[in-house]
Amino acid sequence: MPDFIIQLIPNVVNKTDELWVSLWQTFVMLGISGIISFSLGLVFGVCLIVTKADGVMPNFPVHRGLGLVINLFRSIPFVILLAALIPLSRLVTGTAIGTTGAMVPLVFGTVPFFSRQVETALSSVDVGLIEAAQSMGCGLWGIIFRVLLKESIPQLIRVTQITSISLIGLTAMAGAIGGGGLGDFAIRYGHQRGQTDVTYVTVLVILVIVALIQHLGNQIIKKNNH
Amino acid sequence: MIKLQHIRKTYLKENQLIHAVNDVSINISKGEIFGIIGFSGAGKSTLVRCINLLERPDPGSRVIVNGVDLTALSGRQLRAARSEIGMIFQHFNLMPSRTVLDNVIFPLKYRGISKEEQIATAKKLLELVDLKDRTSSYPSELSGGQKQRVAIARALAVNPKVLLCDEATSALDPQTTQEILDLLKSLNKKLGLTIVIITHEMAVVKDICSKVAILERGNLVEQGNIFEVFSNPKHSTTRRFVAAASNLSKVDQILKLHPEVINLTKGQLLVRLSYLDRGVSEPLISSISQKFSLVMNILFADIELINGAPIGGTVGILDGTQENIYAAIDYLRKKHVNVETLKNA
Repeated sequence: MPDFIIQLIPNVVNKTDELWVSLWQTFVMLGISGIISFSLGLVFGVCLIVTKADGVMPNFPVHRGLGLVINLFRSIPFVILLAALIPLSRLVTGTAIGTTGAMVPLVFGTVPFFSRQVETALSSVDVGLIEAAQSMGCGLWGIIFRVLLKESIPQLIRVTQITSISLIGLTAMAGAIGGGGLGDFAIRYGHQRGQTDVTYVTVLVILVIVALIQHLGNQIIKKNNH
Repeated sequence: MIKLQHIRKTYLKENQLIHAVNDVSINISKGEIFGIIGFSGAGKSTLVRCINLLERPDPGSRVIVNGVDLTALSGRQLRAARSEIGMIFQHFNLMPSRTVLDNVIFPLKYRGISKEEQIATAKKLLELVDLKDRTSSYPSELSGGQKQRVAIARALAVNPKVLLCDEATSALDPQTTQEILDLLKSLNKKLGLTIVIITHEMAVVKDICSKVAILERGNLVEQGNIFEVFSNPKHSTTRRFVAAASNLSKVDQILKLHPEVINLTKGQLLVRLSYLDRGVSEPLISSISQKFSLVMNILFADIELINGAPIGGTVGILDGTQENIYAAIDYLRKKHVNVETLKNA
């Protein structure tokens, strides 16, 4: 390794292995909790849109109940959620620490936010399109998949970008309670041992991840926007 | 083909019961182009949505299309029945993420039709609406008239017997409106398609409808053969529509706003003659001036073709002895000319 790099980031150079492990842990958390949150958020978002008073299948109790639960979880700060969900994490995943233990709070922290985002994205679909689909004999599922979801793909990708980026922030926080990952790496070395170069390198790595997500999303949007 | 029986649609808005459609009954025969005209808020859009049950009318209303009472069908049966009824909209409602071809294929999917057949059908329809070279364009790349053509092709994809047009030309300029109306007319002839047209534009109804119903605040105020309704309108709303479409009503405005423009001397009478008969071929004005030695100074004259038959009239000042003027008016009335006295000196 060139000398100037060793001088610049001495504390990172001697634990590159650990950096790779942290990066991998972050990806695991991001991937698994991301996929779960994406699916659940999509389901809840669709549910909110479909059951609203002027929706395709109005259902006040479901709409209201779901809205209340979402608002409740959105209003809990994530650090508190991390602590509060420890019993549930143990129940679901068998552990409350490590990457696995972080999954449950990550999902709980992301789903409410993403559901609202999906709701916004889907409400951008012109009601006229739904009416046209109904006039062509589309039922509930046809309207959900062929109109609501299909016609809002660019918006859905945009809100997925936003949510994944905020999920990266959450994984870093989960690191604080022993979830591992880049956040944990930066806190343990950068903050607690005063190795600031570790903090900066971590920031840089996260920046690259964010940029990749943005780029990937923008490419898909470009392909789907007409 | 379509029987609407006692259609009512009421809904609550801010704790007030709104009667959007109030006991409307209409019979539309096969192959007819039926116009439903009314000012905005008259309930015409609600009424047309009751035909394919996009809006479910109140209990007691019956919607019978092609012999089937739609109000009695289950959800699944209703969705199947809707494929008998195509619909086009004011704002076209094309799917922006799909190409023109995919928009037309949309209603053909999930019906057990092979992919090749779907594409072939869609292409044939796009040729019918004269858009076969735009199959791979997206709706955002089309003009308003082209979008409506795609919407028509899409509505016809599953071979409906009925086409509902909800203000289909209201977002288009006059020339494009004409193109779309011509297309609808030819589809009516070629395919024997029954067409229901909702509009607030008298010009549209006049041009293509054979029958018309006039809606006013949810109530059906007049309906019938278009020539009869418009040559002899009975309800004030119908008169307003006829007046709006005719130059002969200009004189009312002039009389109201600038009465000084029309100066009558003693013995003169300002009259409006409207022709009610289909065959007005006699030179009526010449004959009255000869028969009754009158002079008629013509201010306006107008002729409109309604469903192919002329309708129109003349506004002018009659000058002569009182006796002769009244004799002439009697004579004209016998010839089925409606005579209105607008101003008497």
